[in-house]
This record gives sequence, structure tokens and C-alpha cells, in this order.
Amino acid sequence: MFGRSCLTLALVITPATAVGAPSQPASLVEQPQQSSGTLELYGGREGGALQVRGAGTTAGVDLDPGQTVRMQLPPGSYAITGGGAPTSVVVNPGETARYGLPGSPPSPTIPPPSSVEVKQVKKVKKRGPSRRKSGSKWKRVVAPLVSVVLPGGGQMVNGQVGKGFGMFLGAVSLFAGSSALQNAADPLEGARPGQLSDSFRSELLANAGYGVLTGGLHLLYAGQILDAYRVAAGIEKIKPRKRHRVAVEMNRMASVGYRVGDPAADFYADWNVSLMLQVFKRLSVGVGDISFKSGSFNRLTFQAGPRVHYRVFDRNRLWIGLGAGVILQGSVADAQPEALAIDAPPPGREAAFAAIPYGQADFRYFVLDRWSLNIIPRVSAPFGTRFFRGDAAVPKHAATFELGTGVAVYF
Amino acid sequence: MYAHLKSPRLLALTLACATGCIVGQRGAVEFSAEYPLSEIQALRVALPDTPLSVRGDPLADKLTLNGYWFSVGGTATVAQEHAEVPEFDYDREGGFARLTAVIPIDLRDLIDLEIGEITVPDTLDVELLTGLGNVEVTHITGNVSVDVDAGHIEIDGGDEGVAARARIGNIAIRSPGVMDAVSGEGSIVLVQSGVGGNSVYADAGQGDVRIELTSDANLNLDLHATGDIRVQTSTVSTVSYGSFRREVGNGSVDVHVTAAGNITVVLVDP
Repeated sequence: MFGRSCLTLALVITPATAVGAPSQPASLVEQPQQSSGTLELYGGREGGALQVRGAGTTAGVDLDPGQTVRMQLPPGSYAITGGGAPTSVVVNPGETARYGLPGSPPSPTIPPPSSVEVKQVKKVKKRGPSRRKSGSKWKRVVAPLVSVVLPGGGQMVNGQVGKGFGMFLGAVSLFAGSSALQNAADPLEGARPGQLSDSFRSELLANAGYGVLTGGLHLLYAGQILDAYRVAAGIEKIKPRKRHRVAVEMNRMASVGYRVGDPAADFYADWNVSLMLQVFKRLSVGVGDISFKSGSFNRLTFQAGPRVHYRVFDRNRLWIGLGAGVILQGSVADAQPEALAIDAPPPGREAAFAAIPYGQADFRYFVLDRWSLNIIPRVSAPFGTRFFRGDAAVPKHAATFELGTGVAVYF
Repeated sequence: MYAHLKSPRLLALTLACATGCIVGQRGAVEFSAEYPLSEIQALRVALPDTPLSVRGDPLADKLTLNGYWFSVGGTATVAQEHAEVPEFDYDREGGFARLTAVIPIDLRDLIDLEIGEITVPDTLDVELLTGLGNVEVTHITGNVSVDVDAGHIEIDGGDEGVAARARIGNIAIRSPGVMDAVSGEGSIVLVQSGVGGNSVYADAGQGDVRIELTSDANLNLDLHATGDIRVQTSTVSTVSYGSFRREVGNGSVDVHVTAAGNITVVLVDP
């Protein structure tokens, strides 16, 4: 009967102490401090749940019928709810105040309980009920680190062997598949005379498959690291940080499309970092698509640009946002060719500039309070040649649909 | 699974849009050009990725070439504009001349060159450089040098000596002169023509090497292979493995071969 008794204290500023009846074992009973008073709660005929609030203390008490629970509290006025109309009780130093549910004998004849069991006492933060089980500290560090080296390893450290093995197999499969597609291309395609445009379709398919597999691998890799930490830390409920100040995003924007010559299709990837400041509720501004690239003729390309973002949906762990911005891209490369004459001046460097306006949506799924996995569809059209990694470039006015994958962290 | 998709093209489009896609157009411009070669003894042709076919012509007194500039652009108009931008640069210094291409930085990855044929005097020394492209050289009696990143090389001629380098690609040379061939990933076939007696050097990083000699006098054989070594001449005959060395006569004709594969050296009729 008393086994179901449960006491929960939520301590905000001043700790309170819950005690059982005086007849109970000494370990459950504390001597009242001179500066505190006692609040005695009686379960009455049917028992019930009570909330005690006041003097910087919030406590929830589940009382069984006939059960009595004593609480050591700082002096002050407390509101008791859950037993009908809210009741105010004053706790004075060194004195005992009483509250009983219906069916309680008149005070002070409340019988001391024969038995009171305190099953659970938790300290939680102000924002709500407990979201975290106790996790061992070493696992919080070791599990994600193991996952960095071995996908799924962190889950195994956490005791989730099946889950970890599944993640490992998934990562290996995605890596093997994308590697096979990448190496399937004939390095000598394009060496023969003639434009072999009939290979465009198969090349497009291969590049699209490569993009899907590597994008999935990115999300799986990042997700399993964060999941390893979440489980190791015992975090059960994710509450995304809506009131963050800064968001740092690391994304890979990718697309497939035509290219000049053979092969006729190519995979375009752009790894970048974005820094966004939330200046108003849901509204962020910042610098996006920050990255360096290199290419042929010692080409160096730097890009960054302003972005505005508005969060249009944020329910549970999913956020959806809309953004717009401009990528400003500057490049320098060796000019060519160098003159043959001995006294001819060196050719120097050549520069190019492009602006790439874009609009995007983003879907963010939170795996920790401060970490999300992102999928970002984006539409753009460059003014000027837009350079990607290596020799990949998109000509001006080419409508471009990209799909980004990545992670974001919120501070 | 994809039965509802009406065509593979739709499937390709669907998959492409699952990872993004880029929409644009292609353009092309045909060209032909001539450059004087009077007093020029050596010509270097250094061009972006393109197949090269060079023919020696005893009657030619200038360099002639033709082909296409291909391009891409966001629209058909832009693509055509891009194709019209590149141009050739012909420079000369003393008896040396060089042909190369000038492409602005913002178009270098949007332009593709495809040379049809290059004709030069057959006595000219020729040096060919490109990135991706098969190279074919015929009827040149001068020295021939070819260097490509990826592409097969075929040379018939080069009486004054031949040197060929391919990072990826097979090399096949038929010449009466000294032959030097290096392929990082590909096989090598060197065939002596004429009376023979010139040295042969070959290095195949990943592939077999076959050498056909028209003379086996004064050979200095130095062969290293990860596979079989087979030598069949009138003076040396062996089947070996790993490495093989043998000197015949005064050893003045080097046959030095290294291959991550098999090596075959045979004597053939001139």
C-alpha cells in the first residue's frame, strides 16, 4: 500500500528536506533546523497528489490514503494545490503546519503514519520536469569519441550493441556504395575524340547516386556521434534552444548537372560554414556559405555572403525555416600563358568575381538541445561563374537546385 | 519499383532532383588556324585537355590546325558567347615556337577544346603537352616528345628520338630512334623500326611491357618486373622472374625496363 508513495521535490533556490514520520528509520528523518519549519501533509481517505509552492520551493507529493509526509521548509507562506481549492499555509521557524486531504482527522490529531517511504528525490532545473537520467561521466566523453573513430562504437559503449552494429553497417554500406560509384568512372573518358553526349544520362545517375549516398553518410555519421552523447548523458527529452543567440552551421551543398566535355555530367559540392545571429524572435541574420576552394592554375576562391533566415515552424524537435541571401565569390588564378621572351614580364594573376543570390528552406531535426541535423534545399542562379571544388564550375545564369546536408549548433 | 516512371530520363531527373540539379545549355564554335614555321626547328603545343592528332607533312611549311571550342552556359546565348571567347596564342623565340590557348579564369572550367588535326613539316621537332586526351603522332622524322596526364599515346616516327609520358594510359611507339616511355598506369609497347641499334627505356608503373627489337647486337639488358620476364632473341633466350641482366657484345645498346607486370623482349625482322 505504501509502496506507491512518491515524493518529488523541485528545488529552485532554497533546498527543502522531505522526511517521513518520526517513527520511521532515522535515515529518513532529519532533525528540524532552527531556521526552518515543518509542513505535515496527510493523505486522508483517498490520498492524492499535492503541489507545494512558495519561498523559492516547489514540491510535488503523491500521498497514499492515510499517509503522512513531513517536509522541512524555509519559513514563509506556501500555496498548496491539488486537494481542491488552493490553500495558503504559513510555516514558522521551529513550528509545524499541517494540511490534510478530505477525510483527515482535525488537526493536531492526525495520526502519525506507521510507514512512509520516500522513493525518489530529484533536483531539476526550473524549466520543467526531469529530462535526464543519470549517465556516467566517462561515457559522456568516451562514447561520442568512439563514434567519431568507429561509427556505431559509441552506441556499443553505451550498451546498445544492436543499434551500434546497425549504425556501423549503415555507415559502411553508404561509404562502400559511394566509393564504388566514384571509382566507376573511366578516368580516360574524354580522352577520345568526339563528344560522347550519349553517356550523360548514366553519368547523371551515377553522380546523383553518389550525392544521395554521401549526403546520407554525412547525416548518419553526425547523428550517431550526437546520439552516443545523448544516450551516455541519459538525456531523454530534447528541448531545442529556441532562444539561442548564435547558430553555427556546417553544411555541404551539393548538386549534379551538366559539364563541358566528357564526362558530360559532374557532381558539384560546396562545403561551408555559416554564422547566424538570432536578432529577434525566430529571425536571424548572419554570414553564410563561408569557404575556401582551390582549382586548376593555382586558382584560389573565397566565398561568403549575407543571409536572412526566419523560422516559420518549431514544434517538438523539428524546425522549418526560410532563408535568402547572396554568396559573394572572389577568385584569383595564374594568368596564362607566360611569354617566351627572356625579358618578358611575368603574367601575374587574374581575378574573377561572382554573385550568387539564392533562396532556401531548411529542415532541422534536433538530436540534442543544441544540435540539429539539417536538410537544406536551395535554389540559386549565379551572376558570373560560380566555382566549386576542383575543376567544377557553374556558368552564369544557370538555374541551380542544390540539396544541403549538415549539422548546426546553437549557443 | 519505378514502373510508374515513364522513361529512364524521368528516373534520371527524379534522382538528380533528389540531390539537386543544374539547368543549362551547350555551345560550340568551329575554328581553323595557320601559323608560320619558317626558321622554326622545334614546336611546343601546350593545350588544355584535348585529343591531339599530329601529322608530319613533307610539303608543309606552316602549322595548321582545326577543331571546336565547346562550352556551357546558363542559356543558349551565354553558352555561345562563352565558346567564342577562347583564342590561341602563338609565340616564338629564336628557332623555338609555342602554341597555347588563352582562356579567361572564369571560363577555364566551362570551355572544352577538341583539336581535329594538326599538320606540321615532318622534319620539325615536336613537343606535345595536354591534360586529358589521346595523342597520335605520325610521319614526324624529327624528335617527338609527348606528355599527358591521362590518355593513350601512339607514335609512329620520331626518327631522332621519342619520349612519351602518360600518368594514366597505354603507350605504343614504333620508331627507329631512341625510345623512352613512362606510364604510371598502363601498358607499353615499343617497336624498333629500321636497322635498330638504338637504346630503349621503359617504365610501366602498372602494366606490361613488350619490346620488339630489329637488332640484338651489343645489347645491355636490365629488366625488372613483378611478373614474368621473357627474352627471345638470337643471342639471349630466357624465361625469368623478378629481374634479369645480360650484356651482349660491347653492351652499347641499353634495354632498360621496369614493369609492375610482365616484360617481353623479342627479336623481329626489320
